[in-house]
Amino acid sequence: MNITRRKFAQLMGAASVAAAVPYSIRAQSKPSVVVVGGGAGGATAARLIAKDSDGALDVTLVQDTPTYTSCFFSNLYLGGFRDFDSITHSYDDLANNYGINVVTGLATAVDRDARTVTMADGASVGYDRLVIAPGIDFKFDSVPGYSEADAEIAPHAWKGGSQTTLLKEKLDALEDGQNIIMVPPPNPYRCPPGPYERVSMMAHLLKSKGFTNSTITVLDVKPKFSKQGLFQAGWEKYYPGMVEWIAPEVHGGIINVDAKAGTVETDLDTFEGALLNIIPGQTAGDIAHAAGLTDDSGFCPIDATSMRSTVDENIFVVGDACIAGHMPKSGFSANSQGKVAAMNVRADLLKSKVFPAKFSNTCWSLIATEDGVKVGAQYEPIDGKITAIEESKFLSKGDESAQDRLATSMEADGWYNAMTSAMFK
Amino acid sequence: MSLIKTMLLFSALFLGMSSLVADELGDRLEKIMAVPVDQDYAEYLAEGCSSCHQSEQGTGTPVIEGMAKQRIIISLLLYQNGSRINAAMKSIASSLGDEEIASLAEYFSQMAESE
Repeated sequence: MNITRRKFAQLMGAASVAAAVPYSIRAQSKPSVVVVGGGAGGATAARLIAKDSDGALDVTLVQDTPTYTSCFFSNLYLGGFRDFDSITHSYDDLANNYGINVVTGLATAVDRDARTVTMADGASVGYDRLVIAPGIDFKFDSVPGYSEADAEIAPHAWKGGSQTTLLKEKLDALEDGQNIIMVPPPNPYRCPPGPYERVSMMAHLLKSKGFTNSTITVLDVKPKFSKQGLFQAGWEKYYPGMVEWIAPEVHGGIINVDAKAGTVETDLDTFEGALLNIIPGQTAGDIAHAAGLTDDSGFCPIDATSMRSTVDENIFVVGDACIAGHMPKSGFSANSQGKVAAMNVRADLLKSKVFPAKFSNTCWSLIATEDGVKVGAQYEPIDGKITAIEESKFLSKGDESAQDRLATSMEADGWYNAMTSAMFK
Repeated sequence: MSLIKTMLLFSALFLGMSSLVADELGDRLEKIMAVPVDQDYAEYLAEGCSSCHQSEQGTGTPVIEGMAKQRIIISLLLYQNGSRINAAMKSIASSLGDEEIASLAEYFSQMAESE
């Protein structure tokens, strides 16, 4: 949905005027909530705040793209299991079903004293409570030689949308015998999409075309990774000889990436690929930095019982941009955090009830057709940190039956449908 | 013995549980059925389930909207004690106390399927 500046000004007018006046003396106007970021955390929060307040709050959702392409399940698009439309979602239902003002544009600044969000085009919108859910941005210089411009040649595809389609086009253009080099990101990183699920899906696509002379070399910057045993067993089983994972203590470190030449130089050797998938280090989305909500880690500290920023009591931060203790930076986590933030935003403004925060996460990965695995846990705030409940942790086992793996892969499909409904319907 | 408890006992024996375990489950079921439910709390908890359980039947995860209250309670108790096997559901069910199970069961049983 594109929106003219004039229409934007109309939408924003009431909230901007309201923000200039202290909330306590605004007798007639509704309190306003602005959510920046329309992904798993932001869309969930906006939807629940609007749905559960029955029109008592003005809710504005600011998103820089007119539609949302989920990064979760984007690997399945790469592997040929899903088409692009199936991972792309409209905001129309949020506007039509719940009266959310959906604004397409880039939020560039937050004036925390005046309680306004400024947009790239200069327009501003006032808030009583702000939810920041911008996801991640990149530290391009974390990979020697790589730059933002290089992402057009050697895509990271770690944000849903044009990067995803660019990687898919390059993957589809490969010929048998041409190789892929992946450099996965350092911790902490957004996941899904999982780098190692992506390896599986790229290998699946190559194999399904009969391109078994092609290889995928993973030059990791981490000595180990989640579900490692399950993935490596899966690569051996389904894609023998096609996938080589090289630990940093073996390749000795990334010295230089030359995107144009298609090379990655390490201490061990210089690796050549027809396709480079370079995923840089990550930090909270730019707006979180601009708002002064981040700490030295580059992410936003929050109160674990509410998702409220520890920097500003009028602001909540959810999803990849926040420091969520033991929770991974997954869409499922963001959705879970968005629910807790929504409950607390409503309580702040409408005095509704607050219940103890409970968080949940499951990350599914597809290794091959009908072979899914999962990892997950339940979480609670303990001593100021979102903490995994030890006995709730689970991980797929290496000796599971094919039937169990099929059930897990189907469960992931069910989750995707339910999850995107919880965000957009 | 109530009808529900009798039914549970038969299902539990079918699943290979001892009659003692089945009897304990029956007692918990009756206790949970009687727990008063706070609608707001139930709604908050139910949002957690809605991340995976769809409103309309598709692949993978079952629709739980409109399911009978005792069936939801029994399912959660069976996941808790490991008689029904799904790692994610065991993890979730094990984090729920009686009030939470009662709340969720009441909430979803009151919803019309495919609402």
